[in-house]
Amino acid sequence: MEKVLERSKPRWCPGCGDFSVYEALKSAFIELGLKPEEIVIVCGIGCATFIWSYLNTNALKGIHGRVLPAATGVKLVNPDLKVIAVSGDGDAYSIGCNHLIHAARRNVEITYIVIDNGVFGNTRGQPSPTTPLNSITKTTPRGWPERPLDPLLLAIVSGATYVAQGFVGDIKRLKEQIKEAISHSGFSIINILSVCPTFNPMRSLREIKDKIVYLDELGFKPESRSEAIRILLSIQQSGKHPVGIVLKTREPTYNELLNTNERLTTKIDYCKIGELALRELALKLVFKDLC
Amino acid sequence: MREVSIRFSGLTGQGIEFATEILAEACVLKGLNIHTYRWFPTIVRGGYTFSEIRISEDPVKALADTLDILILLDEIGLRDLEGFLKRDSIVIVDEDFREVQLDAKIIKIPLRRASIETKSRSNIIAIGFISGLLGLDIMDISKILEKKIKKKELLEFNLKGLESGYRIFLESGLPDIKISGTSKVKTIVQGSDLVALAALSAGCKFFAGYPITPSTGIMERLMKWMPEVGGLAVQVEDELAAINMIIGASYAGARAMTVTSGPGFSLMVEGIGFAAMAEVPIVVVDVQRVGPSTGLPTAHEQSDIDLTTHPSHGDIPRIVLAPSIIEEYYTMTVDAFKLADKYRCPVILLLDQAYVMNYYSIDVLEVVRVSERKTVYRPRGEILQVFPRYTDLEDLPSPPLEGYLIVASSVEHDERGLSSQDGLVHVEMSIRRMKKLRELEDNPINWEVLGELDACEAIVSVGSCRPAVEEALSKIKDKKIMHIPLKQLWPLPRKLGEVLANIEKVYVVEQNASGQLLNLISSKIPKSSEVKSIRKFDGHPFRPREIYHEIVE
Ligand SMILES: Cc1ncc(C[n+]2csc(CCOP(=O)(O)OP(=O)(O)O)c2C)c(N)n1
Ligand code: SF4
Repeated sequence: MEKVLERSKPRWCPGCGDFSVYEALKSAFIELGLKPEEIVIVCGIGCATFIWSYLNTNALKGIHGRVLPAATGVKLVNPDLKVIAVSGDGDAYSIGCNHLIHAARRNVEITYIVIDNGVFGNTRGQPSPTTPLNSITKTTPRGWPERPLDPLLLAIVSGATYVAQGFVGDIKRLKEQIKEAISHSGFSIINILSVCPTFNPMRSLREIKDKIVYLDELGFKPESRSEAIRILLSIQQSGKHPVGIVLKTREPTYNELLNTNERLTTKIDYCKIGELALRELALKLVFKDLC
Repeated sequence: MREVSIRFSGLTGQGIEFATEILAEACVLKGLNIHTYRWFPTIVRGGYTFSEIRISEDPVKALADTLDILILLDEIGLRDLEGFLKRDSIVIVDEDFREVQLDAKIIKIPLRRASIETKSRSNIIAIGFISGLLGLDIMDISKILEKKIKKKELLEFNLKGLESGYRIFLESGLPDIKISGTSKVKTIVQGSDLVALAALSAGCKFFAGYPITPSTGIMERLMKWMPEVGGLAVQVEDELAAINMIIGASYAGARAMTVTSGPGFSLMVEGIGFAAMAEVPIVVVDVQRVGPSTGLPTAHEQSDIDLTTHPSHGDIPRIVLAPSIIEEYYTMTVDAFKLADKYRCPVILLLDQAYVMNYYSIDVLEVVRVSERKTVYRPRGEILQVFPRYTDLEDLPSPPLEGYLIVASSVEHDERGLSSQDGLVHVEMSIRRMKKLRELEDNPINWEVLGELDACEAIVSVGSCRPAVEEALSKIKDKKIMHIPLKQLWPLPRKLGEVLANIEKVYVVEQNASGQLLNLISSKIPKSSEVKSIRKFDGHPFRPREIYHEIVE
């Protein structure tokens, strides 16, 4: 199975966090017993999104920042597909941030994997919305005058029903999170703390690791939005990184609210359309070569 | 008299559009043909608005050149009358209306007084008056009001108002201008109705959109109708989401569309390039309005020709269709879906506000079968393969497909969709993409040449300019002129150059300031021919006389 899921040898810079996500994702698919034909990976643009080329599944490789709308279209048309959206922090929280709010709000059944390396890797080293204040980068020679966004808080207040933070230094835990997210009914997002040794050398695995607080070790139960917000704010104040599941609730999904659980086809029911035209427009349809 | 044209003019909130709608419905019940036109501002209340209806025993498509009846519900309506009134035009005003100097028959009636007495409104009094004048059946109108006004008390007041207006006409001693109908009862539709209905009958099952005038009517219909035929329609956060969502939907196996207007289309262009590159069929409707930028959001213009024919960076296959008569809002929307699937590229329907938002009489609509998307059965191989989606296969597979993976990508790719940085692969795939539309260049859909085929002069028109051109040409007897309503703007039909090859003078009729159609087709016009560009861009559609004067001079 493992071989089946490998399309080509992954290529990122040595030490890139994306390798771990690739491994975790692959193992999660295997352990969940998913068939590659039923998985669709939807990607934006950036190093993180190259994952689709290396994993042997269906793929819709889109444009920068528009992952979630494209993924939503796939899921609405065919609810049986497992739709995995993959972005970097720039793709997800900069150019595509608006869509995150709305996908979360709709609770559309997509698993959103965001590989958060705190930098635009693919364009070779500019700040992203998760880059710390005052960082010196290629486009901020005098320091980045912006405070970082907290993606977990954003996802929670927007209405996501599964919110977790992973870490590329802990593949096993990440894999479990991914499995849980894929099995979750509703919008799930995992923000994965990652590294880009090439363009964000300031942020190392060690440095992240030293600041990690494991939520389960705190005895935290990810059951309510308000508790989730509270714990995130308090950990944030201490300058640490929470890792683990922050929120997991069951709420009506977009498909449920739209009352759709069947695959849409291109079959045409001309008689229904004829009735509709007559009722709505008093218009008679004549069927030339039909009925 | 074989036809009558009427304008109600005043302020938004006075029920001006309602008045024409009522008349339109009453007329089609008598088997008459109608065509309405409406000018309205973006503000919902208190802005200048007018609404026109042209009623005729014969089919009418263009707006009338002059008005037979003008109802002024407010002094503000004294504008936009240049050339519209004749000596025998009837101008109906309230009895308290100030003295007006118009070279027409001014008739003062107690519009306001009667509306107060009956607790109705001036527009209803006017409808009552006009139904007397035209010999329309007041019972028909009562029934229409009953259908439209749900509140019982309000309905009663309105019925009283209607009767009062009718009586005022009888007491006025005015001769009536009877217009007799046919026995064929018709119905009225807006372009919006036909586009939405066509989408359903072409098997479109997924719609995503973001409201924008003047496209919202189509969206509202699809939101209501789509679930009834087993489809889904959603309103999304913006046009970027809309275009990318329909791409996802189409990839997953549904025929999908979005509708928008210029500002929204501008936001969609990156997505259109994505669909073209990934070879995902989509239909994008652009109902044009006056630009640039926010422009005049509620008015008519054809200034998105440049944008829609060149909608993306890079070399992309795209098809741009501009229906020229109201019936084509149905047929060409169906065509759009067929072509999208056939050529696996974005198809853009370039529509006119004037057709989308106004009413036309129509009796029946002919439906043609559209086949389902098919996937030819393929035995699964020894190992899982990525489907060679980018070869010239006929079918359009979507996941899950047993034994195969489906890849659609915005990145340059090989025949399976897998990324390639090889310049030669780019050459090969670019040729593949560009070659696709050659067939359409040679055999354009809906190609038509009207008028005199052996003429030395030709008119090329686009979209809703067609009926005005046709009516103008019907009045020109001493010149032979051919008329090409250009409906496939991209790829440009090769035939256009062939037809124009021996033409001495070409008139290009369009509604924008810069001559976008002329620029688009200039390579098809012989160097030797004289070119006259006829443009109008005041937010109103052409009237036949305006084109007539440009040609006859
Ligand atoms: C519309 C658009 N703007 C800009 C770009 C250039 N671009 C490509 S990837 C990227 C940022 C990638 O950063 P991130 O999402 O954090 O991913 P990473 O490469 O770090 O994995 C940018 C700005 C683009 N492809 N499209
Ligand atoms: S540039 Fe950074 S994110 Fe991109 S592959 Fe290299 S290390 Fe990874």
